[in-house]
Amino acid sequence: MDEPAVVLHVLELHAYYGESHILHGMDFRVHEGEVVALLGRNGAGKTTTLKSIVGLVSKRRGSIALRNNELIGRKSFEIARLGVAYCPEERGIFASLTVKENLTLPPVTNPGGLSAAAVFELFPNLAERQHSQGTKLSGGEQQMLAIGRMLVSGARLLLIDEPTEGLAPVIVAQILTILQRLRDQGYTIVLVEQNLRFLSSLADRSYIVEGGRVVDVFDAARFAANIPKVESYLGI
Amino acid sequence: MIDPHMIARRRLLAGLMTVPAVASAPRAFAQGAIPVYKLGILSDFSNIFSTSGGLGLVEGTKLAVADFMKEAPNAPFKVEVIYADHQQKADVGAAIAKQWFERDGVDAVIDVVNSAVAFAVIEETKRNNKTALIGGAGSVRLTGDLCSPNTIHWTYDTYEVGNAVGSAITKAGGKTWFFLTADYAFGKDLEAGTAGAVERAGGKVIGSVRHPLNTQDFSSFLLQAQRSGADVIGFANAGGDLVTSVKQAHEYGLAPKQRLAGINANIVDVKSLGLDVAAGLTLAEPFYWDLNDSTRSWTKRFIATYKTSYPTLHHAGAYAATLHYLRAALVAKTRDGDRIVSQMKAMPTHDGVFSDGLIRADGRVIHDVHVFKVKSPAEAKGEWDLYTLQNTIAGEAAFRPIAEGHCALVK
Amino acid sequence: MIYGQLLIGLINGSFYALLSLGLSIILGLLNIINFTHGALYMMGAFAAWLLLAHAGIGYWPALVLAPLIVGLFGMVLERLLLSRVYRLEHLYGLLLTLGLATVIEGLFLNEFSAIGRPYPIPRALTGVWQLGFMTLPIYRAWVIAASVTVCAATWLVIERTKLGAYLRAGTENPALVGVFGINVPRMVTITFGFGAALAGLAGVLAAPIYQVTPLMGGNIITVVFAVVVIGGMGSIAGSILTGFIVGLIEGLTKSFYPEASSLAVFILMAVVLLIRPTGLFGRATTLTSNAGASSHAPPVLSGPAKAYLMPALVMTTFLLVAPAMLYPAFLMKALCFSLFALSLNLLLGFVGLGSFGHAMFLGTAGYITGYTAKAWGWPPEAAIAAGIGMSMLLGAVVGFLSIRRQKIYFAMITLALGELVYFFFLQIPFSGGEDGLSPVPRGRLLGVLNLENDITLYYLILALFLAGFFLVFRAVHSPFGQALKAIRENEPRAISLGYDTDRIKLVAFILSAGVAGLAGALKVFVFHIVSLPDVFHSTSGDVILMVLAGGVGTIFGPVVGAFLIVGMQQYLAPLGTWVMVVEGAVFALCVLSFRQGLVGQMAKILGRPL
Repeated sequence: MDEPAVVLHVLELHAYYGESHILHGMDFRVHEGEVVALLGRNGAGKTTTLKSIVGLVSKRRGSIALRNNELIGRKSFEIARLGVAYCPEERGIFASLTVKENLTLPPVTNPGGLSAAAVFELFPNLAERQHSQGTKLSGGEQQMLAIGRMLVSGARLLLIDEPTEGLAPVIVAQILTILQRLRDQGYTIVLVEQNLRFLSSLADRSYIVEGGRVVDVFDAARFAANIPKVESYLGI
Repeated sequence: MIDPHMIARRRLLAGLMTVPAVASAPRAFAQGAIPVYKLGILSDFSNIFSTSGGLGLVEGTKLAVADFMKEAPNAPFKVEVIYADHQQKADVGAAIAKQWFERDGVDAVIDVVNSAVAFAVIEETKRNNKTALIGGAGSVRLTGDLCSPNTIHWTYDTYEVGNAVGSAITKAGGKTWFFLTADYAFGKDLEAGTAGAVERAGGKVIGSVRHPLNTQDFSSFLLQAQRSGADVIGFANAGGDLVTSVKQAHEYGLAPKQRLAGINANIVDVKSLGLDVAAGLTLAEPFYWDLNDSTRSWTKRFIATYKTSYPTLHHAGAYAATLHYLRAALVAKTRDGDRIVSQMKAMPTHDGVFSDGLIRADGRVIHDVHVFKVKSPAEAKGEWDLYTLQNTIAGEAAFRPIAEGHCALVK
Repeated sequence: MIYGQLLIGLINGSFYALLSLGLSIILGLLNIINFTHGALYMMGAFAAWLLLAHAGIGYWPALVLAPLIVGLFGMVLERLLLSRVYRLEHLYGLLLTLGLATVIEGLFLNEFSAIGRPYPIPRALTGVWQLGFMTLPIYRAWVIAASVTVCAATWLVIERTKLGAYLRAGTENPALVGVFGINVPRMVTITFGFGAALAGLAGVLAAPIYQVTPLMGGNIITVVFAVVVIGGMGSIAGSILTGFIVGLIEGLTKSFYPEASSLAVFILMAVVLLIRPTGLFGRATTLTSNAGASSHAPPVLSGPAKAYLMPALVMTTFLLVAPAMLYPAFLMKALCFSLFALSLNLLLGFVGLGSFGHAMFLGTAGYITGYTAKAWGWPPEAAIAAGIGMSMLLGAVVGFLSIRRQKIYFAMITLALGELVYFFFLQIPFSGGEDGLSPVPRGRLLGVLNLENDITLYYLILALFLAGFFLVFRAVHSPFGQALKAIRENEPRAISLGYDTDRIKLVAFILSAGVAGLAGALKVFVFHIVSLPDVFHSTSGDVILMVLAGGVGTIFGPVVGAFLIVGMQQYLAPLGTWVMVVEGAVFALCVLSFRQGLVGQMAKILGRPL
C-alpha cells in the first residue's frame, strides 16, 4: 500500500526574531491524515516553527513545502488560502468581535468549510454564547472557539499550538475527543503539546525539538513504550 | 479676459535674478563706477497676503523705476530691484534685511506686510542707516512710538482706514456699532481707530467680540452681532478672517437689516467673496483702479504685464514709494537713509495713483482716503468693476493727528 | 442665546466628528497618525471647487465625486508610499505623512495661492430657518444631518457587518488576521482610502461655508488630533462622540470667553490627560507592533567617546574660522538651530521619543530671555539663565504629562501641549502677541563684552553651542546614556532590569528642554526679536526635519541638518512656496529611503561613528 502523500515538508528551516537565531534547521514531514506532534522544553522553537509555517515569522531560510507550494516568501493570507488553519497558543480570540464574528472571520477558501451552524453543532455551548464578546468566554470555551474557527475556511491542514494548556481535565478530555474526531475525518494535524497522555491517544508521530532542531522522533508505539525518555527530553 | 487665479510660475524663478532697470546713457558720477540703488521688496509671497501684495509689489516697483528713468534719463545711477519672501516670520525677515543691508548693498526695503517683521526690519534699517518704505504693514506704532528717521509709512494705517469708514457710515445714519474683532494688535487697533471715529461722529459702540486669528467658523460671533441689534457691524480683521466672516455673515442673512463695514477690505478680498456675497459692504482704500483717469491709465500699464489681479492699494503703494524715493535720492545725492528720508519729507508726493500729498515729520504719508461701497452683481459692468465711490476724506483729516502719536521725531 | 451657541457647536462638531472618525479608523488599523488628513480634507474642498469651476459639476454630484477622488488618491498614496513604512518604527509613518502633507499643501499653495476660493451654497439649501433662539442657515442644518448620517452609517458598518468585523479584528491584531486568510494589505489600502474619502467628504461639506484655501487643512488638523487624544484610541463611537462634544465645548467657550475658543480644545485635552489618560472612551489597548518590525531606530554606528574627537575638532575648527567665509548672522542662526536639533535628537535618537511640540521650549526661553533683557534690563547672562530655567520648568511639566505615554500617543500629546503654549504666548500681553517682542537689546556680557558687535556675539554663541554639544554628548556617552539606550531598545526589559524608566525619561526630557531653551535664549539676541513663529508647530516640524535630514541618533547629524535646513530657508527664500514643497519632499525622502540622514550615510561610508 502506498504511503499517503506528504502534505507538509519542512526542510532545513532557520528562523530569526530580529538578531536571535531561533530555529537551526528544522526538518520533519507530515503525511495526509496524520497527527504529528512537536514536543520540547519551553523556548525550544516549537511555537516558532508553527509561526514560521503560517508566515508570522518574517526572517526565514530553508524550505516549507505544502504539497507543491513553497510557503517561504508567501504572505500569511496566501498560505491560509492554500488550506492551512492556525490556532495560536494564546488562542487569538478577538475582543472586539462577538463569538459568532470570531468564528466566521476566516473567509471560506477551500471546499468543505463548516458553516457557523455546523460548528455550533459541534460545540453547543458556543451557540448559547454566540452574541457575547469573544473574550468573555472561559478559557475552555475560547479554546473550543479557536478550534471551531479553524474549520470554517475549509482548510485541511490544522496547526494547533498547546490546545490544552491551562485547562481543566474535563475540558481536556472534550478537546481530545474533538481532535480524534477530526483525525478520523481525515484532517491533517500538527500539534504542539506538553500533555503526554493527551498525545499518546492522538499522535501518530512525535518530534522532539531542542535548540531549534529535531533531536528525536517517536512513532505512536515507541512513544507509549518510552514515556520516561520523552519526559526526560521535556525536563520533567 | 484676465484670469485672476493664474500665477505665472516663471515670475518666481525670475525673482532669483535681479531686474536691472533700463538706463539710457547714464552720465558718469564724477569718477568711479556708476552707483546702483538697490531696492528690496520684502513681503509675503506665499501666504495669505501674497495676492493683495506678493508679486504685484514687484510689478509696481518695476513700473516706478521705469517711470523714474523716463522722467530723469540723465540720473547718475542705476536701479536694481530684488525681492524675498519673509514667510511671515520675523527672524527670517530680519535675517534677510540684515543680509541685504550688510552684504548685498540694498538701500531700501519695501512693503514688509506683517507688523512683527516690520518692527524687526526697521531696527535693522536704523542700525545700517538705510530706508524702510513700509506699505503692507498697518500698525500706527510705525509713526508712533516706533517712528524712526529711516522709516516712511506709506499706503494706509489702522487709524486712517477705521477713521474713514467709521465717520462715513455714522454720518450716513449708522449710529450704533458692533465690532467683530480679530484678537491681535492689528485687529484691536482697527477697532479702536473705527470706534474713535464713530464716537466723534456722534455714534455709539454697543458691543464687540474678539475672535482668535484664523477662525474657521464665525457663527457664534455673528450670532452675537445679530442679537445686538446694532445698525452697523464692523469687521475689524483682515485677510482670510475678513473674507470668511463676511461670507458667513451673508449666510446668516445679517444684511441688509444691519450694515456691514468691511473696514480694511481690499479688492482681492471682495473678488474672493464674489459680488453676490459682498454687495453693500462698505470699506475704505486710498487707491482704486477705476477712481480717475490717472489711476485708470496706470492700471492699464500695470495689468499689461501683471495677470493675477487688478492692482491693489499695496501695489500702488510700492509704486508710489519707489518713485518718490528715487526722486529724493536724485536730489539728495546720497545713499544715507536718513538723509534720503529727510528729502522725501521735504518734497510733496505726486505719483498719479494716490492723491497728491506730503510726508509728515513722523514719517506718515498723507493722501486722500476714499470710502467705497461694493456694487451688486447687477451694477457691475466688468470683472473688476467692484466699487461705487461714496465719499472722499481729505488726507490730513483722515490720518491720526501727529501729536497723538508721540513720535520722538516730532518736536 | 446659549441654545444657539450649542447648536453652532454641534455644527462645528460635525466636522470634527467626521474628520476624527477617519483619523481614528486609519490610526486603528494602520497605526499611523495620518498627518495628511488635513490635506485630504483640503483636497476634497478643492475637488468640489475645481469640479464646479472647470467642469460645471455642482454640489450634489461633488458630494459623491470628490470623496471618491480623494479616496482614490489616498489609496494610491498608501500603496506607493505609506506601505513602505509599516515595518518601521511607528514614528516614521507620522513623519512620512507630515512630509507628504507639506508637499501637498505647498503644491496647492503654489498653484492656487492662499486666497480663498468662492464656492456657493447649493440653491436648495440657501436661506435660513428662524428658530426663535437663533437664525439657522439651512445649509448648516444639512451639515449636521449629513455628518450624523455618515458617522452613524460608518459606525453601523464597522460594528455590525462582516466587513466591519474584518476591520475590528485587523485593528486588534493585524498579523493574526492575515493568518486567517484575510488579505490584510488590501484591507489596509481600502481602509485608508475610506478614511481619506471621509476627509474629502468633510471638505466638500465645508466648501460653501468655510474658506476654500490650501491652508484650510493645517488650520483644522491640530484640533482634530486633540479630539482623537481626548476621545482616546480604540473606540469608533468614542471618536464620533468626542468630535461633537469638543464642538459643543468650543461653542460654549465662544459665548463666554471667545478669545480663548481656539485654546479650549487643548485645555480640555490637557485636563483629560491628567484625569483619564486613556481618553474619554479609550480602551487601554497597547498599540500593536508591526509584524517583524524592529523595535528601535535604524542601527546607528556608535563607538567609544574617543572616536568622536577627530570629527569634533574638525567641526570646531570650521566654526572658529567660519565668520571669515560665511555671513555671521546666518552662522549664528544655524548654530542656535543646531543646538535646538541636538536637543530633539537627544530624545528622538537616543530615547526613541518623538516630541512634536519642541518649539515650545525654544520659544518659551526666547520670550523669557527677550522680556527680561528688554523690559527689565537684565544683562544677557542673567536673561539667558532665566530663559533656560523657564524652559526646563516647562519641560518638567510637559514631561510629567506625557512621558508615560507610548510613542505615537506621546507625539500627539506633545504636539497638542505645544499648541497650548502657542496660544498662551498669543494671548499674554507681555509677548507682544502678533507684533512680537522687539527690539531686544544684546547688552554687555558680564558688563564687559559688547554683544552688539556681531563677531563678539558669534563667538559667545559658538562657545555656548560647544558647551551644549558637549553636554548632550556626555549625556549620551555615560551610564545615563546606557540606560537611555536600554529604554529605547526594549523598555519592558529595561523595567524588568530595575531601571526607573519614567524617571530616566523625564530627566532626559528636562535636559532636552534645557538645551532647546539655550538655543531659544541665544536666538533672541541674533535678530533682536522673539515672535510667535518661534512657538508655532511649524518650527517644531522644522527641527524634526533637521534631525531627520542630518541623521537620527548620530552625534553630528543635528548640526549638519540644522545648517542644511536653515540655509535652505534663507537662500531659497525667493522661491516662496517651493521651499515648502522641497522641505516636505526632503522629509518624505528621508523617511522612505534615506533614514540614515546625511551624517548617518557618511558614517556608513566612512565606516566610523559620527
